[in-house]
Amino acid sequence: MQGIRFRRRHISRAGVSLLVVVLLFVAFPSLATDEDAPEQGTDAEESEHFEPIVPRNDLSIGGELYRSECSACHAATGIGGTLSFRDNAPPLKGFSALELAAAIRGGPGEMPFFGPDSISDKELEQIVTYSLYLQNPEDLGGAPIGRVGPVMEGLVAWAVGMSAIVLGLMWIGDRRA
Amino acid sequence: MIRGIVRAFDERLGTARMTREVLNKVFPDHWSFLLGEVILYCFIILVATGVYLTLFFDASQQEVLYAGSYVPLQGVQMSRAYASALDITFSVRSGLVVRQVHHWAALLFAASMVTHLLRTFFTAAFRKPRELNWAVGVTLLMLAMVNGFTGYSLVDDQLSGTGLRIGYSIVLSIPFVGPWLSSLLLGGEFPGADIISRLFVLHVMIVPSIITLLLVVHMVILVRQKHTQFPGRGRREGNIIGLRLWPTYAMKAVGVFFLTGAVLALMGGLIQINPIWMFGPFRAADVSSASQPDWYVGWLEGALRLMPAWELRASPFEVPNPFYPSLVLAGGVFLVLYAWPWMEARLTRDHEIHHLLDRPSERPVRTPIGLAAISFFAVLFVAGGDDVIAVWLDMSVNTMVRILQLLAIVLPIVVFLVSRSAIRLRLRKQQEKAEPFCPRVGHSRWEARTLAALVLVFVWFTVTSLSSPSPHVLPETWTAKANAGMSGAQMYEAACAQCHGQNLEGVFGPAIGAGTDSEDMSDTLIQAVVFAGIGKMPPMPGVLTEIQVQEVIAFIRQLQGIG
Repeated sequence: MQGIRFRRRHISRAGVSLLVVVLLFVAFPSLATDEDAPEQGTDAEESEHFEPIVPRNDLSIGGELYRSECSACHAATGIGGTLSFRDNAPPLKGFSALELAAAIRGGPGEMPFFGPDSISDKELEQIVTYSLYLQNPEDLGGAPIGRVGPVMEGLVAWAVGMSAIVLGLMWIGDRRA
Repeated sequence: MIRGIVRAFDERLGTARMTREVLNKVFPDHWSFLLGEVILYCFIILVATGVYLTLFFDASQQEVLYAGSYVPLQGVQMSRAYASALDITFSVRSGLVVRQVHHWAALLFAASMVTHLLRTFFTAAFRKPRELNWAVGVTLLMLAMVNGFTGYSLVDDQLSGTGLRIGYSIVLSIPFVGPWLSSLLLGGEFPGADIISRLFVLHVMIVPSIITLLLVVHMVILVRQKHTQFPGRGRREGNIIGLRLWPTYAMKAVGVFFLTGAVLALMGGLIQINPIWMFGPFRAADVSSASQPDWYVGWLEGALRLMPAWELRASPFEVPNPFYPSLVLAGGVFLVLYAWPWMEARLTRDHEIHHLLDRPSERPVRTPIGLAAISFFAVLFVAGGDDVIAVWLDMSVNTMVRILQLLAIVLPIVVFLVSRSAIRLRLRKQQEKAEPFCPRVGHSRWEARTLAALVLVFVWFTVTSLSSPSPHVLPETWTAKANAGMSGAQMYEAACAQCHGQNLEGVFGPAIGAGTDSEDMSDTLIQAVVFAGIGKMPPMPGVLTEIQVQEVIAFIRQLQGIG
């Protein structure tokens, strides 16, 4: 009996010390990641200097400008949006390139105007290019349901999806309660 | 040979008896009992499509320059997470349709859960002995919301980043521990460098595992406790009338699976959902209008939008305002849901075991409470999309928020009272049919009439508040009210003269007298400038009403020698 008890204690001590070592490595990841550190350094260096495989084009520069300057009111998809007190930022649909450029420079209604100091002529052209693209964007994946985002999607999920499923269930199951 | 193998299994595990029991299990046949199955099948489809997406998704926030096939984003800096999501959309074979099916399945997973919960609530299937399974179900709903939100935030486009930021603000608003907790979650300040990979682990492993476990628990308890059924001929507490699992019910179950799969495949293939390529990469400085969460979180978004800007101070500490409409509301809602079976048993003193269901149309208290809750959440949902809906209705978003704030309180009460008297009326009619000569008290009809009047008054109020303000009249503020009765000259003196001078000669601001550009500006343009501001000139909406501005302009024209 004595011997068995001793052995058990012995094993548990070894187990405990192993556990402590494992916990140390888990709790202090720096112990384990020291070797990786220089590798991470080169990674960061690379990402600072690496060359773009595909350069930016007018559309992608215009898109970046559009998202930072225009999307707060006109929405990322160009569908327009509401402002306070019944003022609306209109959807971009239907405006010509000249009208869009004039609006950016002139700032009609509530819209702020963007002079040549904040948006250069080149950038103006790029934003207009992207705005024209948004009037008829690449529509993958089926009916765009207004491009208004999750509000419409939730509506469709209930009105189309859930209704179809409930109708199907009523067809499969018994309707008399 | 086959017989031999089957016998070998049976001798060791007793499979024959078990199989016979399972195959002979009886299911009641009402269609609403199939809603739970839809949840299960949505989950299976979610896992299947999710595994496929995991093969190509790269949950890393390391910045790269996009070099994929979508031209309008080429060369743009973005995280690898977003870049790989774009690749799934544009390059991976059937990646887009799988992603769309996955997203629609997530929406329907939550929708079928809510429908199933409503069925259970209104028919009182949660009563003893099924309280525990109700609690498991409520936990599943909560986990579905959590997993939906993590999935929505994973893509790292502008929309998902905006959602994440709102989530971050909500965590920040927790009293005392908020800032520490949020930096613990994000691994630093927003947006941090770790959040996508952490959400990824939650989204694809931890939460789905718990959901799987709880779904199994839910079904094991269901099999053990057997199904409830509606009362009817031959149906008693002690029996179940319905179809055996084999062959009829199994075929129905397969049918439901294909139904769910077909609906999801059709939606994923035909209806665009979450067009991430149009939202662009997440930038902490940008935000797009019409940014909303998916519908199952939409009620919390609505509550955030409806909550008045009160600063509630639990002295000496300030509790940030977003804490109440988000965590307090969600905590309260789930607490009530969890506690409901026990609460109801306590209040009605009904501690009996029930296997027969209630008919919702015959319960004059529980059904109205449920309907009132639905109307409350409906108001919150509308509020969550108020910016989009305001454009659809061509309505002031501010008016809409006011109306919805009122509705969030009034509508549940009205719905409760109306439905209660409707059910009582119905019950009384049934009773009359059974015993035609019993004496009756007519106050229920009276109640209904009063309520109808109340509803009419409310509709009238809404309609008038909608139609009365002309399109561009700004609200009267305290300053504008203080100006009432002042002449154009006095208002010019008070609001404009400091900068433009007593006689339009210009002091800090430009001269606006005769011969200047202002003379050529139309009244509308001047009015726009006053309200919107220009250059160093501050915008003045609320300082002057539209009519007051017109009076000021008339005064300016007078000085210019035009008016």
